[in-house]
Amino acid sequence: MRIVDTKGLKCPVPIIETKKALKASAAGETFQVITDNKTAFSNISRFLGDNKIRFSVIENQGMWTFSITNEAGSEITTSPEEYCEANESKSAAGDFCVVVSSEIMGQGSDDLGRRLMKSFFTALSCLDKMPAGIMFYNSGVRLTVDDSPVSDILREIEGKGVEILICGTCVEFFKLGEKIHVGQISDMYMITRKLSETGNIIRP
Amino acid sequence: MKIDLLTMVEHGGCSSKIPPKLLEEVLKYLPVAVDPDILVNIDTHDDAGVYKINDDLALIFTTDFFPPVCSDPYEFGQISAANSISDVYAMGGKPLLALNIMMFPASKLPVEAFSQILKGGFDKAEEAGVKIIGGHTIDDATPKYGLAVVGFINPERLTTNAGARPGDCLILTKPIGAGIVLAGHRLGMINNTILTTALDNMKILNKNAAENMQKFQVKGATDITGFGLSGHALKMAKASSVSIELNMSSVPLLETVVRLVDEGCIPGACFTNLEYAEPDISFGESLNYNLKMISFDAQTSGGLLISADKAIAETLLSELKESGSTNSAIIGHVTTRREKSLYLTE
Repeated sequence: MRIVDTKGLKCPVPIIETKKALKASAAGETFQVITDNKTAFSNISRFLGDNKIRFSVIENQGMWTFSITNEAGSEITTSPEEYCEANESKSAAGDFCVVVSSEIMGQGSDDLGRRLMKSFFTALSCLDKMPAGIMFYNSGVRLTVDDSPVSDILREIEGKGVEILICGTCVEFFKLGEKIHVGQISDMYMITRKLSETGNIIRP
Repeated sequence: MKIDLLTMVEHGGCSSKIPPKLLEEVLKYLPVAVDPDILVNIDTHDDAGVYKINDDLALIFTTDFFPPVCSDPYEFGQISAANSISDVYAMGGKPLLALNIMMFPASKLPVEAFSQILKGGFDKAEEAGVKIIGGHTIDDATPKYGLAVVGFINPERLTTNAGARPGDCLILTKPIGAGIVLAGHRLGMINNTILTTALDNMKILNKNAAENMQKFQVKGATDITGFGLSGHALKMAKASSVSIELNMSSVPLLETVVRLVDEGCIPGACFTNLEYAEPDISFGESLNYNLKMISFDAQTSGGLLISADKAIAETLLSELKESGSTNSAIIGHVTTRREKSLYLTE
């Protein structure tokens, strides 16, 4: 895999290197960008997010490793057709966030709790207003793995422009890093900041 | 010995401003001075404070200083002085007196650099008709220079960032992208001609722009500096209780800026400014990402953003161009307050 090491380099160099790698990579290729600079981490995240480029990031002791996939067409484009499409599928964002701290909904029967959680996400995906964000932590992060019962629904919701933040510490704790391909692996700062910006919080 | 001021700084010019969010937090706890004769205070985040002496005379009072934006001490002095004086022009006023503010590493730089910075400042001040009548110097690790400037104006003729009215057209008098060019220069991504154009652009006084806007009795203006075009347009929209629409493809840009941004050369200040301003901004669906980021580029000694009645905007524009502000352009317009304060379109 192509690895772009920008340790010790300050902005805008990490972004220039990320951009170079995007241009050099083949469609569908995944590459890594490593930075040890908090500002560079946050600016690369913004840059990729704003350009709708798929990525995940894992933090480890002050070092951030981005896995960036150059999907066909993920290169920055100004084609009006694509914007129209994105516009159509994008739903209105409501003034609320969903916080999922467990893979089970409610207490009593775990088996029932898992089924309820699936119903919850199905119902959520049908709402007129999408949440501003969905945050997963503790055992809630298990819902974001590829073979989770709600993974398809999460992808659909993410496709509507909803920001999905997954607690990186929790992903590491449960050793799920390889299995997650939805949302952004994030840190407590980002999660807390997002929560502090929202009017209402739903905890299923 | 060849002096290179850029070896002493990480960020230069107005991109060294404290992040706006942090500044807001700190200022929140400071009491605001109250006096009926204070015409402009910190409330509207304007370019300078204005105090009424009598019905015909108000004082405009402002200061700005920053670390080097270029290698040459004399050029740095010119640019920093032009930037400091600009705040008086943004209020429509005539600058009169100034004091030097200097921080200088006496043990690290030859005294020649010190005198060259001051000489640059002095010459630029003289061009503006400003008398420098004193100053203050501190020994410090990184050089920093600027002026505290006093100007005056008839209170009736004041132009503030609260003076934009629905129906006005917005004129920008200098191209933007200086912060991006400077970052590109540090990384060896541009040639010297491009750099020289950008530095020369910073040395231009906003005198001509201010005189023209006074001729047309404009009420709303601000200068474009550290918060970028979008940041300052947003402050203007909020202070004026209006919404502003900027048409990014008509904004004059310094040469190579688009290429630099497309190669990823996006200074950190762009992201800081974006993060601060974005809750109040609507980004058009077709807005190009590069243009969006350029709109947040921190300018040092940028041009004036003039809000002029639609009826006179075209005439003002052509007079600006004829009298020397050749890069001026109409870049947007003002509407009544909509959902967002600022609308950026392609």
